[in-house]
Amino acid sequence: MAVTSNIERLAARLGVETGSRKIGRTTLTRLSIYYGATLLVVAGFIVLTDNMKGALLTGGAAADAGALVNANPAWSDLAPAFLAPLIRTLPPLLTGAAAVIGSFLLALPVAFTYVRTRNRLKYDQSLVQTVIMLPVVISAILIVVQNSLALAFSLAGIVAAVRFRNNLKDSRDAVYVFAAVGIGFAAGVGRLAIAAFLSIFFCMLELLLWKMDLTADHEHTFGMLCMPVPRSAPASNAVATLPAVSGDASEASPSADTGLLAIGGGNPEPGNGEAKRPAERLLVYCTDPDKARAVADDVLEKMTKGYKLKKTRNGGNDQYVLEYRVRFRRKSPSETVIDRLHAAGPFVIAAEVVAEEHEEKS
Amino acid sequence: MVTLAIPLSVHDHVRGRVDAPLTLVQYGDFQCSHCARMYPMVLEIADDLGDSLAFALRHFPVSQIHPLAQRAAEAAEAAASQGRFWEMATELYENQEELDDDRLTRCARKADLDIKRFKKEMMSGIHASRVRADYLGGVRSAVNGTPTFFMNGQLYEGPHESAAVVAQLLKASRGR
Repeated sequence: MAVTSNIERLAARLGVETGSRKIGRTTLTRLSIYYGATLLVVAGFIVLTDNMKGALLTGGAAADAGALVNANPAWSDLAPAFLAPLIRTLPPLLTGAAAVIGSFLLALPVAFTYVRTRNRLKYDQSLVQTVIMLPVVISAILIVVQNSLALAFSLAGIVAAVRFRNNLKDSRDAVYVFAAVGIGFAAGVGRLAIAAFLSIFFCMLELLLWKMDLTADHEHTFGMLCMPVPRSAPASNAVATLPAVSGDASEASPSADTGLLAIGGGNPEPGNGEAKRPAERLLVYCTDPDKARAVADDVLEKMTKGYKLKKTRNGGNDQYVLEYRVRFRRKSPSETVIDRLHAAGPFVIAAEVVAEEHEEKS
Repeated sequence: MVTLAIPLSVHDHVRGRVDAPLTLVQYGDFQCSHCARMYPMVLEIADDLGDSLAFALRHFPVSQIHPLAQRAAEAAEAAASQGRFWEMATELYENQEELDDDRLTRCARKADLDIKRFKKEMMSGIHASRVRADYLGGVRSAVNGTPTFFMNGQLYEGPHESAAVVAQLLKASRGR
């Protein structure tokens, strides 16, 4: 903790975005209070509109309005031609207003979550406003379209005519747009409860993912998801096997103390009482495997008894490793060959002879 | 992901505590201008973070393009044998335009070294093997240029700027 705070202080001094992933009590409290109040409003809307029945302009709703007018003789006496249509529009208007206001209220926390989880560089003001306005517009459109196939086709035509391109700063921003669409859609078809659930679930999930910073590190995620769980082996053993899996250059180099030959010198430490090895393992580190191989083959052809390229592997960071099995001559030992390899061209970064036994591990 | 083949140890030239929770290993070349630009920045970060960070400087003289880098690295090692590695490294980076033997001696004098001993060690080439070992350790860690940094054993591939390095250290500290 102290380490992190030290670096955070330094980061703040350098103006580095620390990207603190503490959600904080204030955020959660505000969200909870807001959602509590919004859910009450939504529940009120559902009760007032009789579970959003007016969302669909059915014959039933129109008939109800007509019955209301007919049941009140005073109203029918006043101006039936004027008042009846007005009264008939009231239930759908109320339901429509509930849907639009509900979608707006439920979209606000989504926008809030966006602001909370983005740093200054990735923050996009237009996206915040889009997330707030999109559900309102979509729910209004859906109320207008309702069950009319003709209107739906007209809408599709209109939407197809509007073309715009907008590059999102972060691909994850698209999820917010989809969430806004979902809320607007649910509210528009009279499913305010679904819209409320979507809003709450989305915000909670997004905050959780952001806080945990899931899948940020590929190695860790890969190890967690794809590597077998060690049964009773100590943790250190599990770590030791990782380089071999990743194909890292370090797999051939278990420690600095192995009998290696640096360029231009160094003596390989002979094995303790080990028998003579007819062939040794030569690693050639290079930047261009094809060109380095041509150089290395030429040198090995002239200076060794025999050689064979066993494999070429990517060491990472644009570096390749040519792995040879070589039988050195007495008069041109490995040090001389390595010197020659280094002098042969710029593609060879270094070469070393490693003990044969290490190959069995890889 | 590329990892550090040779872990940080007491044999390294470390600024801060070797067992610090965060480690930053730099493979550097005393003739490399990028290294010279980064060196004071990293040093400042290391000093700011104190015991929270172990910063180690390892040699990676790219002799093909920097013919004097190997000798400069040996000079730094000679200074290390007198306990003045960081002072000498600073001098070498500040005078990297010409690092011939005369300049190396002048740097050694500025770093307050025992010049007689320094010259003797430079003549004998006693530190060449250490520099080569560092180089080969770098090669094994897939280092192919300088400066190359490893944070907590992982290759750092971000921009060579203080803010970016600190941001990555912050991330590493949270990922511990």
